[in-house]
Amino acid sequence: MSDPTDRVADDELHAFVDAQLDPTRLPVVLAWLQAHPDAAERVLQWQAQRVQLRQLARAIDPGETPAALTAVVTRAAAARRRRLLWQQAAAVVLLVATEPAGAAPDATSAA
Amino acid sequence: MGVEQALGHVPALRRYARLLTGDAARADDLVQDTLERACIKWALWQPGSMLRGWLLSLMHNLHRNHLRDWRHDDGHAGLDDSIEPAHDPTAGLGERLDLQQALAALPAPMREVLLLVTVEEYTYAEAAAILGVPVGTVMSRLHRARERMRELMTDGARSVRPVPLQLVKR
Repeated sequence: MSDPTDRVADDELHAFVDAQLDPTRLPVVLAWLQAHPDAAERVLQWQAQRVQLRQLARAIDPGETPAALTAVVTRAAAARRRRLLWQQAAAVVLLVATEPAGAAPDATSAA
Repeated sequence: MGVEQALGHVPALRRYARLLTGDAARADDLVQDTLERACIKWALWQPGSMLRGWLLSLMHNLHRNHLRDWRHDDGHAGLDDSIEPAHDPTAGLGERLDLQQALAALPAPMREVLLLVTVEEYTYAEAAAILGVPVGTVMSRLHRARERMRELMTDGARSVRPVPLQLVKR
């Protein structure tokens, strides 16, 4: 079914279908398709598949996101925030504990 | 910025998972696993890189693990690209598959590439990065996916692979 001589060209045919073809190659590919009706037919079918798949995807309505899915993320985010708060609190405690050394000169200069 | 960013991608992930698994309930299970994994591995996500792609990458890995579990005992060597049979005995059975059936009948690695490229519109290089394979592998899977779809939808064939066809089961 597939022509063994167009192995290399296949990549470009796919790129053509997916709008990823290097624009400078477009004329070459178009001319090549004109000269190879069997390949042109194949490309047409690939394009049709693409359109249909995209329609299928659009037709899927996943509906409201289940709370369980949202909860996975919000729970993890909350846990993360709690951890951060604890870390900050720990840092503050550390700061307070070491303050006399650091804050004393400040206090003197203010006075 | 926190993992809450992932929430914005949930509807798209659910839609994508539905196409990947062919089944709404399994799709949501997969999305849930993906989100859990994302929360655990959040520190590994590089801010500025595409979050959706990263999430899809996690999802594909999980999906493959699921498939491996399901096929555990049936002698399938797994999903390695090199052993995808090009010689499935599908010929001549006359029944045309519709698009969804044909998609479900594709081996998972082909389905993944096809969906990433056509539905999600990733470039070949992006799809390769998401799947962790070379671009050449993406191209060959894409080619085989499209050709297989063409066969299944024109010549027609029964679905012969033990890919879980949940579309039908539920």
